[in-house]
Amino acid sequence: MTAPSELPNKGPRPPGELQELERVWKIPTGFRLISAVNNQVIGILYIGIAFLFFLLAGVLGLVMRTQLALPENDLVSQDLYNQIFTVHGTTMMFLFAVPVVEALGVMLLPQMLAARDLPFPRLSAFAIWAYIVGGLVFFSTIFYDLAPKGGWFMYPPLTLKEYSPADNADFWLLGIGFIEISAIAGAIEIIVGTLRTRPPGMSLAKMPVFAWAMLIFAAMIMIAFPAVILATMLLEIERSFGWPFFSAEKGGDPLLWQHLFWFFGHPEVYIIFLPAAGLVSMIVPTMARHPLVGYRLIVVALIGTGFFSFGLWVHHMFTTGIPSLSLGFFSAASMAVAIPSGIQVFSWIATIASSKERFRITTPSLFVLGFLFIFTVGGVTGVMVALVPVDFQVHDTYFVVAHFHYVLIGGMVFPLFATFYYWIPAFSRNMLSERLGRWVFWLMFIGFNVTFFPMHIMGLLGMPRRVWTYPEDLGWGMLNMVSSVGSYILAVGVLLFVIDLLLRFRPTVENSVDDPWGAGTLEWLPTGAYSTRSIPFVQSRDPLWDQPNLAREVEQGLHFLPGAPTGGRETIVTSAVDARPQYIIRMPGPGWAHLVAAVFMAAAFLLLTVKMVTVAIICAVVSISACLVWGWKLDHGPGGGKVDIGAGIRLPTYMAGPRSHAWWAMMVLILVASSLYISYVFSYLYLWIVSPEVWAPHGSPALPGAGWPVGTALLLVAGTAAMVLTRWLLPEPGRREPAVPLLLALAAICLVGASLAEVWAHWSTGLRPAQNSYGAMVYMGSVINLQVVLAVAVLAGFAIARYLTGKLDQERRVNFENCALLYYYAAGQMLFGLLLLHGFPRLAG
Amino acid sequence: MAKLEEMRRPEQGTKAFPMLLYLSAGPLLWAGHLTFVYMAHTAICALAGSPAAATAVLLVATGLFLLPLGFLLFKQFRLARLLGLGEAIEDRSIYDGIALFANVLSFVGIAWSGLAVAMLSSCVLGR
Ligand code: HEM
Ligand SMILES: [Cu+2]
Repeated sequence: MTAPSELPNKGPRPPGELQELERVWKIPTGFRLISAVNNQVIGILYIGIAFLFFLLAGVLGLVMRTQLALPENDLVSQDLYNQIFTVHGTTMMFLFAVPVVEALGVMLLPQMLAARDLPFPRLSAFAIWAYIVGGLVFFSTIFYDLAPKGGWFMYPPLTLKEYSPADNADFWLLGIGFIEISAIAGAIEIIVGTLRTRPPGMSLAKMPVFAWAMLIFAAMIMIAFPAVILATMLLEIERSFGWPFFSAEKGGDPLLWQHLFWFFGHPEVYIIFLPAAGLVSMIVPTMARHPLVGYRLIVVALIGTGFFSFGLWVHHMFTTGIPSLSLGFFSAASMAVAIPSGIQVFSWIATIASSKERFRITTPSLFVLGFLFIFTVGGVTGVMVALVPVDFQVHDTYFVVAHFHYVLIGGMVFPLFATFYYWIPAFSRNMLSERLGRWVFWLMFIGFNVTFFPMHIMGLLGMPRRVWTYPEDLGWGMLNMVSSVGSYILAVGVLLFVIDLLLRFRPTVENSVDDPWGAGTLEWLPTGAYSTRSIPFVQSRDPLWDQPNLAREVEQGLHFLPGAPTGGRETIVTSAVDARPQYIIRMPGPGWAHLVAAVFMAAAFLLLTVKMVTVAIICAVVSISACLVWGWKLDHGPGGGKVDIGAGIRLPTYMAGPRSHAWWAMMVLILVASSLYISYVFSYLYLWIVSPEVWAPHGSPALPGAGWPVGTALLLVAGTAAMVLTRWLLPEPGRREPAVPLLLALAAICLVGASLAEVWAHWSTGLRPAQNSYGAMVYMGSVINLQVVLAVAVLAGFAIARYLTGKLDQERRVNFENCALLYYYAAGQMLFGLLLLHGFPRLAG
Repeated sequence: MAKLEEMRRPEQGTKAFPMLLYLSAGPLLWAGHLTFVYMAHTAICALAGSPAAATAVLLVATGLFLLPLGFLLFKQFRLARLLGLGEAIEDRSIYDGIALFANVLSFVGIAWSGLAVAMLSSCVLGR
């Protein structure tokens, strides 16, 4: 392909332009570094902390292996062992695996998409700080005998108050629930980032596979995480207030937890695997010096896995006693999900096979090959346990432990190490050592297999998982010893890596090793704190291969947006499919508000755990206030006018309505809220199927009269009308319209009133939430509504304040739109809730 | 290949929502099938306790989901046109390929797990 004759901008660039870019994007120094929001800075922090959790939880793994090396060993007590495997599993899954891939997204996506930053830099910084504080406190519980002991999936009834009376379980429920919220914040960022901040010309079909993988990853988080958030809410409420969601004697069902947990938990493993697969799809073509074979098929495989993984959760429950048709159906679905993964494996092999010259064997490629081997073995044992009779046999044995470490370590840890070796040159003065890298790889590869292969056999011999020791005469000693030795070999490999990292990793934004592998994608363009000097006009999937002068042109500022025309941080927002430039998004720089918000939010959750409710509420108020301060400065308004980005394109610097990134983020948030609500509806119907005898009108007080729901619905409709009317009445810039704040307040009052009316209606019939599962579910509906209602109320208050200070009008209306969108959603959800809670029992009873 | 000229006309670009729908139509049908099968069979077994009814309903449902998907496999351009995706959009053939393979995958998925429905008696406890 020849270089395009036409470039967006002409050189040489005016003097001072580069200096302006540097000034605007300057990374704060000294202690102020913690206020930074540049994705390279917080990305490294994010990855670093996640990796720290990998090391910490890995040490716990070593402790377990040491304890199990000999029969009847007493290095750790039974109770401590229970805490250790729980914290190991929980940390690995929630504090390492998901965060580290999200961190890679924060770190790599803007570079791959040549965006100056992700669209909401402070939101990612907020999520990261919240995760750091929350995660460290959660992990430290292991030192104070406060750690949860219910295993990483925390099944009730074991985790109910009767059997786990102390606060240990609450640390899991509140801590992890909180971390999930931070993960969702990151997911919103990633969705809007991949869809809207691609460089001009990079249509969806030219997007790097990693970006596809992250897009689907984030979409899966939106659907899956709300289920476990609901589950943790239900369990925490049952533990604290006795609402019997999981207690069979009052019409609850412990299996409801399993359904909700695994509806999250199974997709979770693909949430972990897809980004890793995306990374592999970036590394393989480079090492083969050949474009990825079967790009379309890989994208299909990612989409297919994204969907199919939601249809498998019941395979974790094969032994709980469910209708045989479910067994067959979910067993078949579990086998089918192997197809998309198989497609990817074959695409990689095909790419390797079509290498120009030979496939280059570097440390990253070794880790990729190790991944292919280990992950495939794990996939095969996965199909085995998807067979119901096999699962009956090996359920809860070490066979399962072997299987999931093969897929998790093979499927994500090995690609992660490949990633470290491959991408560190883009962010460091030095590469990591290739020579040491080979040692790291072989020690890890051999150590891994020696540790985990024998576990298959132990499991077949009947050794259950989660036992702190075993008697000698069962004959498991030898295998366990081998496995423990292997874990130390693995640990030495990881240790060598850490040493290499300390010796050679020197983070930098300007002086990184440029493109040592001869790769084709944009993250290998020369960068500074401002990302690339100008934003490239992209015409192919491997631009650096197909547009040979690209790096030079970009560096000379000949592509789009070579300066900082608004005088602040900004990047180009493009259309979601074809990536045509639409407007300039102005982004915030370093700040403290999001930091305060994150730390106090974490504190609020943790204090709730230890039942210091008053202090917790104070922290929550501080946190929300900090959010308001943070939000106040975000909306710059259209005052910046239009700016020239090159090629004669002049873009507005402000956007409201369905094109704006704020609108998209709000829609994503609404999707999250609706999947939480759908999980709730599922739970309601599920408990009804299990215990129809406690449902109104026979097992509980009769429903309130029809006047209640109808009246409540009218309130909601009135509020919605007020909101619509406000949109019409928004004045032109500079004018006033006194009805606007009044209508906003009226709408908010209608919403709050409706939610209170709903609670009162049920209360007046004598129904109480702790009475039975029906009562608990009815009031739970209001709890969920209340969250959204509170958010709307805050946004409405915010919009009113914006209006009163002259910062809200017909053009500058993003704050109003955010509020209105969430309002319409809240009203819709509550109307649906009225139908369900008042209509369904009438129908079914 | 994208032209610089096209970058000047953001209004004429492809719409996001129709495109996402086009790419995921098959998987969405698959999701609908899963949801329906799971709910219908749980409800029929719990309430009516009639395995024959459950099997019959699920078989019919599987057929009903395969029908539009089969149609899509051969006439996916109809859907594209319905969604307002023009012939001329950038990289059209790649999107077509993705949609086609996704439909094939979903067809296999529905047919394969539908087979389980056909072969097993429904409501006995599996353990
Ligand atoms: C680094 C080396 C690792 C070692 C030596 C190790 C060791 C172990 C062992 C021995 C158990 C079984 C405990 C028992 O059932 O008694 C276990 C459980 C588990 N591991 Fe690992 N593991 C390692 C890495 C990982 C990684 C990377 C992940 C996830 C990304 C992971 C996730 C889990 C989970 C989810 C459990 C189940 C915990 C539970 O039963 O609740 N492990 N690990
Ligand atoms: Cu699973």
